[in-house]
Amino acid sequence: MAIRSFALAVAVRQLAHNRGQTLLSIGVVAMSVTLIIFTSSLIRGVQVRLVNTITDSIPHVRIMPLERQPEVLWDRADAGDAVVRVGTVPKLEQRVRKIEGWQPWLERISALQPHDLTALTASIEGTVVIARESKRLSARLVGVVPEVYNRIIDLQQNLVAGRYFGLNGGEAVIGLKLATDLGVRVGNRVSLRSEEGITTSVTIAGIYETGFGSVDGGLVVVPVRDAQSLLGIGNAITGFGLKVRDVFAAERIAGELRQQLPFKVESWMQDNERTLSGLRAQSGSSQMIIFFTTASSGLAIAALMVMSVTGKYREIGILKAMGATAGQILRVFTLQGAILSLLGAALGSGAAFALLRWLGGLQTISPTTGRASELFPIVMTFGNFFLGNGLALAAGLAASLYPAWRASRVNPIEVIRGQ
Amino acid sequence: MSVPTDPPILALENVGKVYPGAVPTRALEGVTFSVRAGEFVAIVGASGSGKTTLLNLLGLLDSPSEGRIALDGRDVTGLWPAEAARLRRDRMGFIFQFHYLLPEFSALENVLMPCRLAGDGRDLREEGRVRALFARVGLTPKLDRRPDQLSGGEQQRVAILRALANDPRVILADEPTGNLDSRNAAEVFGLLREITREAQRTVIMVTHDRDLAAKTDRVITLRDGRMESDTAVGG
Repeated sequence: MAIRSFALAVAVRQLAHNRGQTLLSIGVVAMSVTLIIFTSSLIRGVQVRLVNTITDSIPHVRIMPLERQPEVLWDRADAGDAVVRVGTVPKLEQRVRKIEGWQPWLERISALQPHDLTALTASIEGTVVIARESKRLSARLVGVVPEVYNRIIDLQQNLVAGRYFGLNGGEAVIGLKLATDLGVRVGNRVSLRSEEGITTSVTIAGIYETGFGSVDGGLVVVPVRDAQSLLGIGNAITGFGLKVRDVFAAERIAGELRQQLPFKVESWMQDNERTLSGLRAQSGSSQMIIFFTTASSGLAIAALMVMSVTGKYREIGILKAMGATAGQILRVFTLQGAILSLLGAALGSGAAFALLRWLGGLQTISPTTGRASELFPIVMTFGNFFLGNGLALAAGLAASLYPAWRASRVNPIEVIRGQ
Repeated sequence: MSVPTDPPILALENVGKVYPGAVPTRALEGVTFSVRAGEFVAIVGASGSGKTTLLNLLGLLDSPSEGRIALDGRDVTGLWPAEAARLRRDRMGFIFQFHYLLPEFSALENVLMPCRLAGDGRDLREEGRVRALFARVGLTPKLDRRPDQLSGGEQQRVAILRALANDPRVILADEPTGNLDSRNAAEVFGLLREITREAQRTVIMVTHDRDLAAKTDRVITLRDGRMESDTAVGG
């Protein structure tokens, strides 16, 4: 179909006519778009992998009872003639801090953050010594409903032996490293002794391997009732664990909950400030790379278009003599910038997609665990493609403005005199 | 030759042009003449006599420093660039020493380019008439050829058709045969003469070729930026 618009027709024909220059420009834009999408997808992937490494094995937000502060007696109103007794009262920190009547709090927390939460569970946590014959190791005890807790830490997927879901009283699930250290297998019995001095014996029902050292080597998972008994807290719990939709929103959500709950609320971000600072630096580097890539692409287009305008100087002058307005000439060259950018962006997006798909499929085998994992942690998002294409288009259009302005300023008299 | 009695299509009144600079240069001074519809006028003079400056002023490519220019009775001195461009597009045709056809477009598309500039579908409406012009100059078989596939004479004939595409009132030609050999020059000039005579179009042609000028209706001679003579000839 013939193009009726003067500016579009001239823009398209000139691009088609100067094939080499056009392909070069499209190539430059395509390379930039590929690089922008690749960089942002890879860096995002690295960040997601790093954050997942931290957050997959812990709740994003933890809610615990407030720490009891030592009371200063003379501050009390009734302290006048009080008699201070010195005795063997257990240290405050040795007592398991617990939340009684926790079910209404569970509903309240859920109601406070209905959109951000992906998992919410009551947790019972304490410290135990796990022993098998002469081997004794300290571990973190967690009392769970496996089907619910699995949304906080996915142990079911990572089972290497036995079972996890449907865990019965008197059974426990432990990590592969802990099992290896103790020399136990599924079906063996081990003893658990809490800090409260309560001892019980459990059967190993399952062994998992998550790849997280602290989870695989130091966690004993038992049913809720068994944990409550071991810690001597009756029907109480020791806190709540939350997973949120956006891990980076964890601190904001924790802050909001802190305002509304009489508990101590902590996010994973508080404990990992150094990592987050590293991630921010990485994001900054990524933005710098994207900026310079975009600028290079824009400058390359501008240089090629200036060359094109210089080569077309006489034709432009004659067109103006024939009655083309400065606006029409301006449109010819801005359209060229837009067309080059669009084609380059489309090509670059396709190339980036293919490259990322290929790299995303490459796997590496861990020499220690023998597990296969992605060689390149790539996160392809619509946003990355939108960013790459948007920047390329903006750079292309901006880059075409100067040559287009130069073209629109061509004085036909100079062309005629120049003949 | 019949002397036209219509009102002037172009009228210059005491037109002068000074190019500013450290030392201002006067290119034209006190030029006064008028051209009627259908006239074929040659402007001659030595190099630096002001021929091209005058043509630029007539083509609204430049503004005079003094005096006034009227096109079809309307004062067109000092128009805004966009308005001047519109008048050039709708009322004027240009032929240059070199054809300056757009290499990316076919001969037909090049000729229709001034119509396409209007952006009002004029190129579609005028295509039939333009094709007839191609037939008139024997270039129908070359309608779809690119400029680089045409000979020098053919390229200049296509450039003449381009100047006629919008059916302009005035055609301004700057040494239209200056780039051609004598045989092609004679052919191209003959063609320009014939077509414009048939269509009753006004032509103002700048040339340094006295023989060519003698074949027009009227010769205006410039010397050092002033009109030296304005002579009717046989055509």
